[in-house]
Amino acid sequence: MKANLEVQIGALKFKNPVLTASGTFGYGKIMGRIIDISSLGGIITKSITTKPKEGNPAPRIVETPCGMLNSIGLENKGLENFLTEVLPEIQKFKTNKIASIAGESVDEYKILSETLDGKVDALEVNISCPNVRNGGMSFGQDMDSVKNITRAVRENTSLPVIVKLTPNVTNIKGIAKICENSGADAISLVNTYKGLSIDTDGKVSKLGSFSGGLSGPAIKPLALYAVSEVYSEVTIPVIGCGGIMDASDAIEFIMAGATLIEVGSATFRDPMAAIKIVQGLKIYSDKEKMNKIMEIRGIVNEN
Amino acid sequence: MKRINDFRAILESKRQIEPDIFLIEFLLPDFDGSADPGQFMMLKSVSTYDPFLRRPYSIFDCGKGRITILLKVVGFGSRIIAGMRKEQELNMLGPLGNGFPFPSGEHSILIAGGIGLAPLWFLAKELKSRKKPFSMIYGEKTVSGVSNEVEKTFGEIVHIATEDGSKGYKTTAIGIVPSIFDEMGERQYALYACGPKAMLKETISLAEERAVPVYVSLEERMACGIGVCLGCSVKSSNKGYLTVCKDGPVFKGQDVEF
Repeated sequence: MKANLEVQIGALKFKNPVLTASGTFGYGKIMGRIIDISSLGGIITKSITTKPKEGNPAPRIVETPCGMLNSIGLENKGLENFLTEVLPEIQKFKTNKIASIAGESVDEYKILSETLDGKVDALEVNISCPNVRNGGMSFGQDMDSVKNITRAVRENTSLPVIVKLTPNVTNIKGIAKICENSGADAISLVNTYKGLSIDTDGKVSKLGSFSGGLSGPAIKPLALYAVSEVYSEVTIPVIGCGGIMDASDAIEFIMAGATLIEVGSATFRDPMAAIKIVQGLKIYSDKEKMNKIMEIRGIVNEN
Repeated sequence: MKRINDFRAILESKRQIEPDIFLIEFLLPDFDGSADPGQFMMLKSVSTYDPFLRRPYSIFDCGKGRITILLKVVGFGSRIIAGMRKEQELNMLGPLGNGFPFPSGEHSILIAGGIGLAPLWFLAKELKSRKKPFSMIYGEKTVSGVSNEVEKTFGEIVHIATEDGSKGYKTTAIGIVPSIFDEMGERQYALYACGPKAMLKETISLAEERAVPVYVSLEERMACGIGVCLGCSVKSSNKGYLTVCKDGPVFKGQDVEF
């Protein structure tokens, strides 16, 4: 028996629950030289901003125990470039294309969601980047901004709306609930945890812009708990993210309540990580004689 | 577009040139041997998650089914690779990035500083086998086994510089370039450099003074090596940033600011 890995957010179908996290996969062009992108559940693009963004000064990354800090600063060529250069290129991937959008004001989120309406399969609203001066994580930490941005996107697009949350808050369940009440179709979490690494010889931060966002296996238990918390609070699908390295990690997230998962910095270590996770989920489902992968969703929370 | 592969690599031989410098040859049964001088590989040495990221190494030498790297122990990741024994395995993703363009008719001057020798060794071997004229400068702080290797392999075209004068000329690698211009006289030149940033900057300004083309290979911390994380950015002279891994690691000297 072949298990069914298919999952859904509203009416949008995914052939399997494996997505690639924003900022770890580019737009798929280079990754297409290494893996078969069409076998994935979907790809989430590098965050798109209305205007081109240069990003932060170097060094932008530093390795930490079982993980890494990054401070890229949402470098991207802007909406116009995405429409003319990227969009035609990614059509060839026979999987869901999810555009990650990031703004510095509610208006920018409006422009982005309106312009991209109908052009991709869903939007992931980035209100959780810890590495930008304006907007980013500060939106995701403020309940009014979360509400206003989610509503603005909802009102300006017919696409499924996913809101990506920062874990750098005291009450992530409350933030998730606001997203649901403001019209989000799904919640993805977590973006990176804000962190710091110091060069003791130079007596300076190891990053050019002082602090960064921590990702990798180091944050997995934290992310897993956050997913389980949010799953218990909302009825819309939850997308789990944070230190997922292999199929076993992915299954843990599904058991904690995730409908889909995002593979992030694992791709840096192994570009085949996401594909291997799809294969691993198939093997696990067959071994467990499951009809549908969704049979195990949230299973630990129901004990 | 060419496929990028993650090769299985088996340590074949390891030679210690200095207490902290090794030449390590790996066998890659599936590697067809095609790579350009200046390209690099991303090495994943452990199956645990610490170190978490791969480490970039320039291809020092390669052929069908084999790649050699020049490794200096600088930290956690390099120490693990340096400690590997014959027949131990790791993964190598690549070949990655853009290599050095070959000179058309110019006399090439290769300027290597310290461990920056790796990509230029590969270039020198290619130039030698294609019978292209070139000079090679190797600069280091103090005499080491590395300069012996360079001399032994490339012979009389090699010029050695040491900062303390313990071997060759007591100067920096750049200090030797003008004497090569003088010696070779009026002709077309191209400069190729890899080494410390200060050395690369000097190479670029010297090339500008003489109006000769200059290509530099840059090094930066990187996570992915394939242009998706945007971690290894270098300022473009034009606008915005370029990635060392995908737009480089070899750049025209005029195209980058660092």
